[in-house]
Amino acid sequence: MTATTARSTAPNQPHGQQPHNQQSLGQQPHGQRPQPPTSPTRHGSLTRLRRVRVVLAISALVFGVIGAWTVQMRSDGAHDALKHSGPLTQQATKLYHALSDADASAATLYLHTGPVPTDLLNRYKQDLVDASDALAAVTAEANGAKDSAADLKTIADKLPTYSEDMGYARSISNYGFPLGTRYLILASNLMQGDPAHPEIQPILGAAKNLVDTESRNLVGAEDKSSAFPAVEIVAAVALLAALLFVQAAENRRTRRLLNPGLVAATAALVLSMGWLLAAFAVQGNEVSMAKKQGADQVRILATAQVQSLQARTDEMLTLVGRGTANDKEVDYVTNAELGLGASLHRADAAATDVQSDTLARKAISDEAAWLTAHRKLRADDQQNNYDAAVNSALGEPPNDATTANANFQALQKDLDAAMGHAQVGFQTHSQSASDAVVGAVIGMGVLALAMAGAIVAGLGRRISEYQ
Amino acid sequence: MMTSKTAASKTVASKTAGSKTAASKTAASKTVASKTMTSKTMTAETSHKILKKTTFKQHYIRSLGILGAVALLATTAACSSSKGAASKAPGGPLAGEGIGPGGVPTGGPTGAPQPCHGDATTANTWQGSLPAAGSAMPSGSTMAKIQQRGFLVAGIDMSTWLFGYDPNHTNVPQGFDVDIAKEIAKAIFGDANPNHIKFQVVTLADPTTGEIAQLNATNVDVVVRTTTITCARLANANFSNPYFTARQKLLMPIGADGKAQKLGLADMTGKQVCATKNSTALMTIAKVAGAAAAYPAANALDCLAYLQQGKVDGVFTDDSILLGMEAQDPKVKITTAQTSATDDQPYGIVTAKANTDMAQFVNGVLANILGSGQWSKLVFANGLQTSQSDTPKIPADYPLG
Repeated sequence: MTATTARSTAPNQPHGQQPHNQQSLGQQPHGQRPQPPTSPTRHGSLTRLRRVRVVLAISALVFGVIGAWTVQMRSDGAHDALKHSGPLTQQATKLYHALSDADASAATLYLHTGPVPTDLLNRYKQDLVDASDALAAVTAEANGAKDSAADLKTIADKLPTYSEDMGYARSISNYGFPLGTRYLILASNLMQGDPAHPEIQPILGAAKNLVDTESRNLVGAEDKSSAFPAVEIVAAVALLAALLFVQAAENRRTRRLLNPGLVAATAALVLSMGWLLAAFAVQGNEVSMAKKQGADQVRILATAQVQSLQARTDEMLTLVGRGTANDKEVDYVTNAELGLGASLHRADAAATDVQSDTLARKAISDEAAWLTAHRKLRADDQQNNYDAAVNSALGEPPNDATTANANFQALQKDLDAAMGHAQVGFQTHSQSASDAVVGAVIGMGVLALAMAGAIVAGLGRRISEYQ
Repeated sequence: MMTSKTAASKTVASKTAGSKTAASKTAASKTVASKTMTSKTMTAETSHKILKKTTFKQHYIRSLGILGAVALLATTAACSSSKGAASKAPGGPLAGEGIGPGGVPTGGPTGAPQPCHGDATTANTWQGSLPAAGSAMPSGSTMAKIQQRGFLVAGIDMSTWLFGYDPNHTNVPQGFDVDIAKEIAKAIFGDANPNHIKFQVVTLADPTTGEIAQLNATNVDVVVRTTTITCARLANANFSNPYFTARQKLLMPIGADGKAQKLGLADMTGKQVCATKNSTALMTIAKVAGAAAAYPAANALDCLAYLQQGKVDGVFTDDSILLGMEAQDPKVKITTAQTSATDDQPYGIVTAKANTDMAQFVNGVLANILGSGQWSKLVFANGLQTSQSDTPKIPADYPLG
């Protein structure tokens, strides 16, 4: 009887709900609650409330899942930057540096007459060990990634030939044969590129590609870790609107000011969004710092380091060639005067703090001093003063601060310090970025469950009022 | 180019010249030369026979006179159209000297080089006998300036074994070129004091560190660095008469019996033969063994490295350079196959275009050491005797270059 009334007064109800309504109505004792509902019928309100409760609770849980997913995405990005792309970029940079340093050391070794300077020989050997270690690390970490496979193969294929030719150059040179010089230049061309064969990719070219590839991947990871949480915000706004709408409606119907459950759910929603946005803001800031203070500077400084080492190799080979390697001097101008100068000014422009700025400026002034010393060295060599040119290149006497060697070493020290500073910056900020979202995944889950619980409980009270 | 001194040298020459040949054609450009010409002279063939017939010792005693004879001969040749030179395409490959890219230095006349002949070097002949070594040089002369300065600056190579090299990396060069330069210093200062000569590395044909550039910048007084005398280079600098003649030969790994192989360039079709890029040797390889066989290298010595690495099967260049390669690797040897004299490379001592007196003086010193037997002593001392042991000959025509 009542069911019929309800049906006739609420014809807009879906049919699927009718049996359930009838059944539940049948089980309910009539007139237990005297409160006058504002809606046309009690049954309609009950159904509506139940449905609202289910939808809101599920929405809260979905919101929690989205939140946890968003946090996880950013956390993955931060973790990738900190534990994968970051170290991979660092290893690729180390490989690039070790290879070019090995070549510069080998050329310098060759210029030395008399007993072999063991520190320089050890440096060359250590460079090759470092390069092999870094190559193995990058290969393992890249794990067959297609973007780096070809470059890794180039380096792995050519490095043994390089060290073999270098060893050959040194042993032939022990007999005084000029053939040793040619092997030195052929090996160096394998590393730096042969002007006569630009189509053959040199080892350093492949190493540079690796650095570029891994830097791109790092930028990708950083972008992922600081992606705008659009889905989460849309979900939060929708859920908030729904909660407020339901509360307003209930307020109208019951003339009660607040439903404690729904208020608690709203508070949980606001709290979880606040947590999320705060964590994201901190993380975003740290990511951007890791980029500006770390990764960007590391990239520029690594380029500057390699350019300075390539120029050093050119300086040595021009001297070693005794007039047969003058094209290396042309290379020097390209590497040192154009490339290195520009890189150092970029490093200065990218400096974010006093220390990196100071180091960049010092590097610029040391580079200028090296250029001056180099020009004098070239003039000496061209004006029948080879011994003076060699002394300048090798840093004799050691206390003379105007030699090409002294200024080159000073520049290397500046660049090493700046590089160390930038790498610490990257590490610190990447770690902070990763830490900023730690716990947010669990927090999102707990708060979503609490929200759902509060909704169920809050609307449960209202539903029980009908029963 | 022709001066009265050429006429004088002809007079000396006519005393030793035996046969008659009339200058058949007169080139318009050489009118001055032809006017001073006598009808008594000899052909290149006759001169060659005389050289072959003479014994080694007689050879040197007579070399001065023969030089003069050849000088006149060359003057004659200048009047006839030069077939040798004409056969080479102007603007074609540059005459290689084995090392470095052969080339015309910048700043010189542009366009194809004009053919040139033996007189291009014999024209600069010292009149009378040279001032005694160590005595005062003619006042105002280039040599007097060098004497006043206290040392001669010689432009040399530092990476060509047996010619100019620094075996101990101590900046103390040695080799045949270095010894020739020392002879010039000795002729000026009268002793072999090492303080009277300084060495400066010269890069072949480099616009800034090449022989012409450094001579013009007065960085160096003479350049002795296996430089082939070519017509193109003669336009920008003075050359002495040839002080060494190199012949292009093939270098290959030794055979299974440990001896030199017998193969010649013609047997190398389908194989790879290395030579300096832009050199005449590379063009010869392409001509004889096919274009696919020619393998260019930035530096002649790179060819030895390529041979050791198995990238090429042989090296084809000046035998003087190849001897240096033999010295650096006991597993390679010049093959025993005969090669043609067509592409012989006459090496000359280079002096600045402006200093004619120096060019004449250097020619005088060269004539003296050729005549005294010092030249062959130096050849033996530097291990070059297995190459061209004969004294260098002045060709009728120099390579175009």
